[in-house]
Amino acid sequence: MPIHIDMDAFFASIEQRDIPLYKGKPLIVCHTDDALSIRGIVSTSSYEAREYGVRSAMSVLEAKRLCPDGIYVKGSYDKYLHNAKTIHEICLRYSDKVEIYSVDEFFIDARNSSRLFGGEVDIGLQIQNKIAEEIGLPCSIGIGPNKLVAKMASEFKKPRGLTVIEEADLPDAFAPLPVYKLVGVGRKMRRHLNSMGIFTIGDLAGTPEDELKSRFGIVGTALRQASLGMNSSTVHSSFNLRESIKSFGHSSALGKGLSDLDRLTKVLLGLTEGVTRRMRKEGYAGRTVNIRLSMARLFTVCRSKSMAVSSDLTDDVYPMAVNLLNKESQLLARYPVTTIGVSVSNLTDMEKGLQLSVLDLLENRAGKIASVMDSIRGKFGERAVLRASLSDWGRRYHSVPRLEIK
Amino acid sequence: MKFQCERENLINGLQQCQRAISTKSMLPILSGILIKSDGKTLNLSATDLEISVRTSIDVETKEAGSLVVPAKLILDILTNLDEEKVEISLIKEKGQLEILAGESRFDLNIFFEEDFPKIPESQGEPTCDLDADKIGAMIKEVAKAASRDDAKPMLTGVLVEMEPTAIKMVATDSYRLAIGEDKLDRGPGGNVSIIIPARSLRELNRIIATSDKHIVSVFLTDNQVIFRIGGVELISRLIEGEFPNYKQILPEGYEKKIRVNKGRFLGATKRVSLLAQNNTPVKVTTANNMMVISANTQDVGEATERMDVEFPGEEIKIAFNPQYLIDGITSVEGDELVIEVLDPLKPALIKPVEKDDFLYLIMPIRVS
Repeated sequence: MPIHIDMDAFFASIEQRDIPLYKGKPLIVCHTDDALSIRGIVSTSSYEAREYGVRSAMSVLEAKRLCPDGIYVKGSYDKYLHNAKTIHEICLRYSDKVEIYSVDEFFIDARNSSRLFGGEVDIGLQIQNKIAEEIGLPCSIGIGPNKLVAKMASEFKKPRGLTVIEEADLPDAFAPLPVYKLVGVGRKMRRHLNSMGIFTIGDLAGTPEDELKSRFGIVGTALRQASLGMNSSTVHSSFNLRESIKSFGHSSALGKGLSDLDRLTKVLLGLTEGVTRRMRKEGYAGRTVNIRLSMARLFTVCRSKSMAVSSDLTDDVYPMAVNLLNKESQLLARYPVTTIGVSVSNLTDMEKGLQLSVLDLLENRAGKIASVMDSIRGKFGERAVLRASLSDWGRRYHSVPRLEIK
Repeated sequence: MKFQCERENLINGLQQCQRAISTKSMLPILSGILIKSDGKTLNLSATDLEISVRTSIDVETKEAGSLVVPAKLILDILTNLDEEKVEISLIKEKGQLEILAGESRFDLNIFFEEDFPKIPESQGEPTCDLDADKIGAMIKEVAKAASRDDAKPMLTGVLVEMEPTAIKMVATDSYRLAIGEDKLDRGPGGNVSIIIPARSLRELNRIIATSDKHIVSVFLTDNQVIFRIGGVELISRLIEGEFPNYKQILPEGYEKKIRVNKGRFLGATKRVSLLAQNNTPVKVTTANNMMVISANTQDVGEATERMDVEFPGEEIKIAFNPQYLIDGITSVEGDELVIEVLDPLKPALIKPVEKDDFLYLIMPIRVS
């Protein structure tokens, strides 16, 4: 049976562990350049803050309205990644099949080692204890006949819970839960389902498959199966966190929205600078440039294009991103952009090797400038040196880092 | 317009022109071939605004005229007919082209010459004449090092430098660089330095391959180059700007030269490359009269192959992109080649043995 490990308020717990002052207080870890920014987004809130209704993905502005006395801090993603790596290592002591599902979620297939450690429940408890003992972080464990059920089970008791759902408990265990608790049901799907009179997972399980299929296609079939706790995906071993990183991205919320191409281009430059800086820091180059535009909060447009070879330089990534943006000029004329993001995927781990260029033999200006700027920023802070056109960056726009994991 | 001609001849002429037709063009008229009949010849031309092809065939003109016909459609029709001769005429009142062959009759909608882009004409004496076979071989060796990425337009071109008695071609996608050189008998009067899109040169090579003529005449205009082989002309735009200073890139010459059998080296590299997946490099290690080619991909496996070589020096290990290395080896003519290395971060050179008319420079992959 797969074991699902879900870290409890991961980022907030790390901050509370490291800074005792934050313990027992409503702490809100934000995605932002500086914690006071109203353009920031809540990344994780501590359990104390959740009592005020503060949730992930909420704007900092909204969170401050709900919880004005909360402690708002900026996330340190390198630190969180480092902790995730340690958790992965702890899991690997109990089985060689550990999947890094996201930065704070892991699946373990312990079929081959469960006898050694006394069964799945014991393994779950041991991992929970080890994580608490060794790095002082709480997590909840879910165990079920498949990954879907295990993941849902870890939600049952939080924080520091352990829930086992057996084959025999299904589908009754899920039936009373609201339908949005089901993996794969987002905001839109929830609305669709509610309009069909489906409010609980039990309602969904009781709806004839044909009806769901005719409305949602194959997604309908998958949803109904999920509502019954049926799922056939297996635990894929992730070798290490480095290999699991899929993309580096930054995005910026633009308040009421921006349509002016020149200004959007400038925001894009700031975001790209952040992305490539982080890539160089972590030792990655990437080939595919993606932009993501949220238009008037109505819909999202994603566009991507690949370069001939991988790069970690703004001089390579930025022109591609601008090109992608320019192609959407017709759309921009009709809808303002409310959130803009740029990311680089199709990554090459520089530890594996970097293709050198003949142009490096001539005058590798972009590369040299980037490395000098990096070392200045390393010493004197991220804003110590900026491109002139970005001098008002941070005052007017902020970027939110995003790391996507396979 | 009205003419009669051999069906095969017309197909050949249209197929030559079809090379210049882009399937991606936004302008419908560019999917057409301009045909102009006058006296005993029919002139055919097509363009995608970067490359144009012009040729002519023998016909019996009954009435002079011109029109633009959809290339794919007319070729499909002609290749499906059985008759030796076809008669083609413009039916003015309907604005259609009529094809008559035996019992078959086709009426096709057409475009008009007035809407077709003007294609430059060759005028006066050619700038220079080139040996078709030699130039074809040089294009084949050099053009593959050019970039296919439109993000760097300059590098999608081949730098062609000519003097009264010599020609040189240089291409680089910035990860490898190829240089071909040759003597010229009828070179230009002065020095010429132009950048021709690699795609145009590849098309020129295809025309050379289907032609029985051995001379390529070159006509230069301000921003176009015209190649004439027999009755076929290929017209290409030139890339404007400054090509990277390749002379600065070329190393002074290395002392460590390894002579290898080309077929053996190529085979080994291709075999070992099978285990260089997910962007991992192949590694070439040389020491003690031995060269080892190796690769390993995490979770997949590894491969090594050793070859005896004459190389008494100390160990050098260099990593390369497998495809770039394979391209370099296949570019060299002859049964043997020389690979010159210096250190893991410096470019390696691949050259023919005892000749200096070709050079392939390849940048390594830096591995930690």
